[in-house]
Amino acid sequence: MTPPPSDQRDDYELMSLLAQGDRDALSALYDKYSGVLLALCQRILHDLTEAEQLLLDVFTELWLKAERYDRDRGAPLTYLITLCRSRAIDRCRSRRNKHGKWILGGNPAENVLSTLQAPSDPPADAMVAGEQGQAVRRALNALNNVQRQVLELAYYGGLSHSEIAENTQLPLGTVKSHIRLALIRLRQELRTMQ
Amino acid sequence: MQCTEIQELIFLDAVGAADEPMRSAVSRHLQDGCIECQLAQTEAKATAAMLPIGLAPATPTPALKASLLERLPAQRTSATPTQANVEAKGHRAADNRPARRPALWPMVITLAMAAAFAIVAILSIDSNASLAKDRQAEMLAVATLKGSLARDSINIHKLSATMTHLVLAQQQKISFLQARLKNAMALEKMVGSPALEMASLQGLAPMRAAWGRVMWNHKLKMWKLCAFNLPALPADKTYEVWMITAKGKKMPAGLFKPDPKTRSIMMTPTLPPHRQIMTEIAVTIEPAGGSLQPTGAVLLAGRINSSL
Repeated sequence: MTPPPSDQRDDYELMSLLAQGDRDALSALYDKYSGVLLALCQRILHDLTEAEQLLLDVFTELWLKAERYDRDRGAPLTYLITLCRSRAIDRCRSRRNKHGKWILGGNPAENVLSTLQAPSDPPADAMVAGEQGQAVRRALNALNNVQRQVLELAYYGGLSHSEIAENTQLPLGTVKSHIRLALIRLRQELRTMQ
Repeated sequence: MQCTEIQELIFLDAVGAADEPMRSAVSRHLQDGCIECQLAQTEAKATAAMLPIGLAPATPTPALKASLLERLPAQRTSATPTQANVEAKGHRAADNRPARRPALWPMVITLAMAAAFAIVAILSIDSNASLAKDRQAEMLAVATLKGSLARDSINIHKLSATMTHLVLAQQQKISFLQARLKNAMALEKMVGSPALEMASLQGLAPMRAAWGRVMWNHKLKMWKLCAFNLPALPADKTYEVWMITAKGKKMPAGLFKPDPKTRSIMMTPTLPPHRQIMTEIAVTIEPAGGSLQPTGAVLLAGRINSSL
């Protein structure tokens, strides 16, 4: 029997099959999310080769430790994104340890909008790249520049709030409140768009 | 740490901006079982995880997937039969059947079924993609709703605690007013009775401006002493009332301090334990706590003639 195409099964089912050792489930998840996950890795590492290597590592880890996923703690995509970001930031930190200083994948002050463009070549899974992607971009556009910048530095730059304060010359409390307000605003905007 | 402070840290943690002590504080708080903060964390992490979805998706090198599948260790094996196995079984089954000339109608039925399956598959692909998207949105909505419910629950608890506090305060006020009402009614009964007796108290040097009244009712066994124009006393002094018998024995009958604003007092003298004839009532200034016998000069005095 031919396994059904990846997008015929929902993510929870795929994760469940993956935990039972189903290679097709892993393949389906790869087809669905490799585009967005690679973009995330590349955004943090700013190196395509390294980003692809990391993507392989993440999917291998997913294969070996699929049972670690707990559906009560979030959707599979949230888990995949968190895993990818975490491993990418770890790589950045190991660069820092190696070189004795924090080396970001790019300019930490770079505006997040510069990388938030509509894809020129739409991926196979239109769900992620399509409406949701546009919704997130619109939500981010609703934030002010400082809010976007602190989110960028924290999420993609892997900087702590004190490092962000040092980079932006903003007071520590201001950085904290910008992050909080940015996430609240983002949540509200996404909720409105749903 | 309060939930509001923890939730501030939860936002930082969701985007990876919290340092180790902050993460530990959040972790400790969540281990204590705070549902509201757990929901806030789930919601914040779900929101933060939406950020990469806004990135322009990258296209992996075509060989990358093959490389991934090749490097996967074989510890996990699929429980579902592979396509090759299915086809091999199919071929073996076909080999055992006698050869037949193919009829036309089964081919038509097969083609029709294939077309129907294709339509169902296309519809299913579309609806499943839509379902997955809806599910993602529902997860976020449910997390938001849970957070909102938890916040409402906490607000209700706070409101309930405030209301309980207010009710207790009102109950205390009611008890106080009930006690005052009871005293007022007893006083009214005492004053309105024909058995009421009364005597005047006169101020003596150096308190000649002071004056008072003493009232008593034998039937009700009630006494009241009112005094006016009484100077305020230092903290180490007190006014003391004395009941004096016909034989000149002075018996302490209570301490008082006048109201500093009105410089007046209404008090209930303590009656002697045994029935005796009292002829006088007097007031002196004594050390705080009172004396067994008067040590100060009599400042306020009046004649009574009553059997107590």
